[in-house]
Amino acid sequence: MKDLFQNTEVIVCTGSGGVGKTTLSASLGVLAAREGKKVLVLTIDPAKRLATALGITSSNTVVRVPGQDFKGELFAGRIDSVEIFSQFIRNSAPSSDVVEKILGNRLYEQLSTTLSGSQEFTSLVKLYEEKNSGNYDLVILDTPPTQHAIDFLHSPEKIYALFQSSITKWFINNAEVGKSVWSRLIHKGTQTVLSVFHKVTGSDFMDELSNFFFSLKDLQDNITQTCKGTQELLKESTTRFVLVTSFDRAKIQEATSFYSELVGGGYQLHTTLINRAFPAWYLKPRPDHFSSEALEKSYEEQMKYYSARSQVFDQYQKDFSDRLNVVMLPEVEDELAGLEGLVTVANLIESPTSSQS
Amino acid sequence: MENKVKVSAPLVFVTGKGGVGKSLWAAGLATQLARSGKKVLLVEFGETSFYGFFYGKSFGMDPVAIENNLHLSIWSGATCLRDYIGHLVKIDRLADLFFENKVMKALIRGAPALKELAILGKATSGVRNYGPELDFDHVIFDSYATGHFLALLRAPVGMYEAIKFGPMGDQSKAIVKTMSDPRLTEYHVVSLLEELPVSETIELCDALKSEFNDNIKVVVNKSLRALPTIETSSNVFESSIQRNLSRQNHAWEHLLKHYEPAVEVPYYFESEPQKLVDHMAQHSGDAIHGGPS
Repeated sequence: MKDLFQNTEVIVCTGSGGVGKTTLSASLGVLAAREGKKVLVLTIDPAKRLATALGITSSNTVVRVPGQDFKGELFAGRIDSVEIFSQFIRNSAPSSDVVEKILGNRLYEQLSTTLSGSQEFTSLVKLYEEKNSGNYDLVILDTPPTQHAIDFLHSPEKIYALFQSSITKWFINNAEVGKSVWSRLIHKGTQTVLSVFHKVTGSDFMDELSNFFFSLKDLQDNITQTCKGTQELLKESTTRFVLVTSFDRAKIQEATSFYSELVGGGYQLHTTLINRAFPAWYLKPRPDHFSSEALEKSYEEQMKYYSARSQVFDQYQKDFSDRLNVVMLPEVEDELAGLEGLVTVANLIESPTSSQS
Repeated sequence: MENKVKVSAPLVFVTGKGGVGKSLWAAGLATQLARSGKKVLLVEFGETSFYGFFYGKSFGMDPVAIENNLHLSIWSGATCLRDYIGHLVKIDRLADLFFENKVMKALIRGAPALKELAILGKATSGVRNYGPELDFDHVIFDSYATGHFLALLRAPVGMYEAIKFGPMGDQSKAIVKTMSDPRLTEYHVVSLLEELPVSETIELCDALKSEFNDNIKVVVNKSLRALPTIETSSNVFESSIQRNLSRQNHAWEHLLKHYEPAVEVPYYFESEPQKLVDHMAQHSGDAIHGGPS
């Protein structure tokens, strides 16, 4: 596990929602800080208790985690997607007029909240910015909850494609002539297509949309540059991915395909953390005595269940152990609170009870 | 008490925090309704299928039968839009032209709220009698987790605020109306008895109630509360169970202060997919009254 931090400047924690990714990201931060690194953990929408443990208030500012005594230093920040999006526009727009035009567009709010990939985009913008600030040895990104781990990787492409493709150019070329873009189209084929679009959405929507894209034209260069920059950053040799997953067949299956996709795409998956893989008592000998029959029955039932699951894991381990680290973490029994709670999890990651290649 | 949920609306959206068992609950519910004689469609949102792995079949937009009366389908924003436009222009070649157009492709990918509207437009099309036919008594949606789900539901609300007139405004308004009608749409919020999922459940229910409708059923999953409580034990297993139990009881009390769960599903230590679905199905009752005629 230790070599995770060697020559690593960025760690991206991916995984589907509800697997404990945020807690594990923060605990990886603790581990790295203990090793003497100056670390920043960027989280998205942390639960109240975790935010408190990290000393994060509601704002976007980065804080030094209170109450720490590590060889290195631990910092934490919360990514506020809507705020970063508008900040990005402010920084990229050539004038305040343009900023107002964009932020005031009736479709803007929809874009910044529902555009698929907007949250991922803003978290990458933040990562890129903090990494390039040179303030930290290591930046750990807790990615937004996606349905599937892989969704995260495709998000910059989506945004990039939107601004790269003919669409913006098309708006720019046409809108400068004046009035409605839609009526000035030359190609007959495009006209036909547009009439379909018009039928579905109507003139009001189309006008608003053309205004919107037109006002975004000044941002195009910056968006293109940022998308390219973040994509490169994700593939750099100093960037490593950690996949956090829960322990069931569907999730393990997903992890397997995620692995192939990462490797195929030229990314580096360093470790797969299987969170809450088994309860702590699972590895202990069978108790001699039970307080009730119901509890004994429940013990047998659960034992059977967890052993069946570990067989699935063994198969996974066989398939992948030569290529990547798989670390199984037991359930933590006590309530985790404060920085101490994160230290407890960090200890578990460092020396889990089970196999590690 | 009969530990079962009864369904009263033709459209059921299943949501909740990630990893709480939404897909399983949706599958169990759909299975039970189908077995009670209703014609049911179980819909998965997204591009990659969970049920495909689960049932060992591959699925697309066209409903595939998995058992008597029960069909499964997977919807993405793009496929829903394709379906809708195909219906609207009637000519396949023209619809193809639309989707092959480079500008439209990028637009569909990126235009704000378009995909969300396409999904909800299709979801509500059956009860609105609008768009391609969707002939089922109940449609069960295995939808997104909390944050994404609210963004999905709010898309037509925001769109209507931005664009009042024309087809976009009309459709958005009609969709919101359907989602806000407790006779047409109900929400199942699945939760575990843990601190985070319970707080998220309460917040989500509050939002659904104030912004849409209050036909909300809270489904508590993986409950251990039927196990006996004991005072002391030196047995590692039992003390672990006791700690879990007290945590669960605590979360239960917290939840109860805000919403009374409609059903409490015990923790099934089972990994066989179909068996799990059957367990879940035991906790869904029949429909209260027939679906739409």
